[in-house]
Amino acid sequence: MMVLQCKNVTKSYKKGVPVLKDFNLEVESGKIIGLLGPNGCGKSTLIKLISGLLQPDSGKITVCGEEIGEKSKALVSYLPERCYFSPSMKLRELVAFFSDFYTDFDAARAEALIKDLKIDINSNLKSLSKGTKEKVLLIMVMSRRARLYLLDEPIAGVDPAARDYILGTIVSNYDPEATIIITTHLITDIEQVLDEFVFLSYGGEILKTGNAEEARNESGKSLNELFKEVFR
Amino acid sequence: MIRKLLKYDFKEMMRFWLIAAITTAVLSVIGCGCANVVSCYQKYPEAIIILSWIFLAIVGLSYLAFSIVAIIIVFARFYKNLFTDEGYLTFTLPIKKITVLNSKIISGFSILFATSAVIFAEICLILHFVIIGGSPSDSSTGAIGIRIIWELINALVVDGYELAFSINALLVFLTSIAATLFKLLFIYVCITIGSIVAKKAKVAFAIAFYYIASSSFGTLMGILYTMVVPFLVERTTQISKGAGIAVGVLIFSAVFLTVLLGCAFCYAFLNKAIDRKLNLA
Repeated sequence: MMVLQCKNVTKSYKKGVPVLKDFNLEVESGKIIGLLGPNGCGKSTLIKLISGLLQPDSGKITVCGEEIGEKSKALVSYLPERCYFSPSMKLRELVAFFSDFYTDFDAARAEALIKDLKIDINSNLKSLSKGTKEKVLLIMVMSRRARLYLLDEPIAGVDPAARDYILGTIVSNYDPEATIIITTHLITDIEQVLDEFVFLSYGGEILKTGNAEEARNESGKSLNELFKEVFR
Repeated sequence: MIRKLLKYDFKEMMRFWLIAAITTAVLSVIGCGCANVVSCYQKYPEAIIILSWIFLAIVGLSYLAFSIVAIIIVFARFYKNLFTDEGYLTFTLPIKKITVLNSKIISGFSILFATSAVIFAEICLILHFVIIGGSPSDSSTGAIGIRIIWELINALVVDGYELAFSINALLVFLTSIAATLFKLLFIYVCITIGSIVAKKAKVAFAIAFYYIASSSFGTLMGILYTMVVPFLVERTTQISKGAGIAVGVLIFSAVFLTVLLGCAFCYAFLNKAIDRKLNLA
């Protein structure tokens, strides 16, 4: 089943300088896809367009056939680059907040994962370290039974141990029916979990796409090496 | 969904608002005693009277501070929840953007209205303890301030025009409520413009825009006032007092409708801007 469709999507922040130009992408369900590209190539812009934070200048995006709006947002679980919670919130309030707004949110799973981190559920978000906040953010996002997960740079700015935790949480909480799109430029760390990859260049041009395992087998190179070759 | 949004909006704003409201309430209760002391000044030593006056001034300042705190709470919530990192969560919730806007308007207006109501009630409470004649045994003790206001209102009523006067009073009340709503929406508009247009210092841009827009509007209204008032004075001096009240109904209706029109314009702008122009980059 087609989870995501982008048709001729153009988005620019400055007139005449499009970050994405006539961008087309179709994503099927049940895959973990790496949206890989250098800084400024439009990875985050695409994720924000799909999650409804940005408005495209032209073109159309649909999630499970729904145009971006109230219904599509109920199907998408979005992990932004930054922590978007009010620092004054307690973890318990955060779980209650997600339970209130997302019908697909599994509060018991979220509480269990928070407990695994050995954090008191009554602690305040502002009392947590940056790395722990990122883990909590990921727990909240992955505790939803969404159709499409958009993870924007989930391992950027965290230590290697935290990276392992994050990737482990993604893989262990992944519903095989759902699709995960991960953006990153830290390919080595993430390529082990990817089913497919998309190499995105400036202007949203897709330079190479395909199955990660097949690409590795055909070229005898890792995705990271392929990436360096393509963007040399 | 709006109920859930309102629940979180109120919960967040009430944390600080309740502290401020309780503080002014406590100060007002003590202020009642001070009001009683200063109105019975013959009974107490001069030092107590001076201290009471100082404390009453502090109570007055606390009302001002309470109003400022309420305004900051409302507009900070709007800005933070929509235009900072928190906006990433707000605008990815499975809710229509207009519902988010409606929630912010209802909660913001309720807080501002409740603040005015609390301050008004506390002032009435203090006035209740003002004693005319300086003696606690005086027959005119209690609710003096309220009674004076009521008598002043009654003096304005002209026999045979009670209905027109009541309509005028109702229109003034409704206009003041609509004006509060307009002020709220107008500042929301300024914050939204600041957040959409400015790349940096968005709050400073919003404040500058508010200052320029409200100054321009004030100047325009001033010019209109100096043109219209002499004309109205000339005309109304030629008609009876009762007819003047009836004319007042027309004028207040026009003012009320103008303010409502301003509210509708701001609401339409906010709806369009947040739905189509907002890009959380």
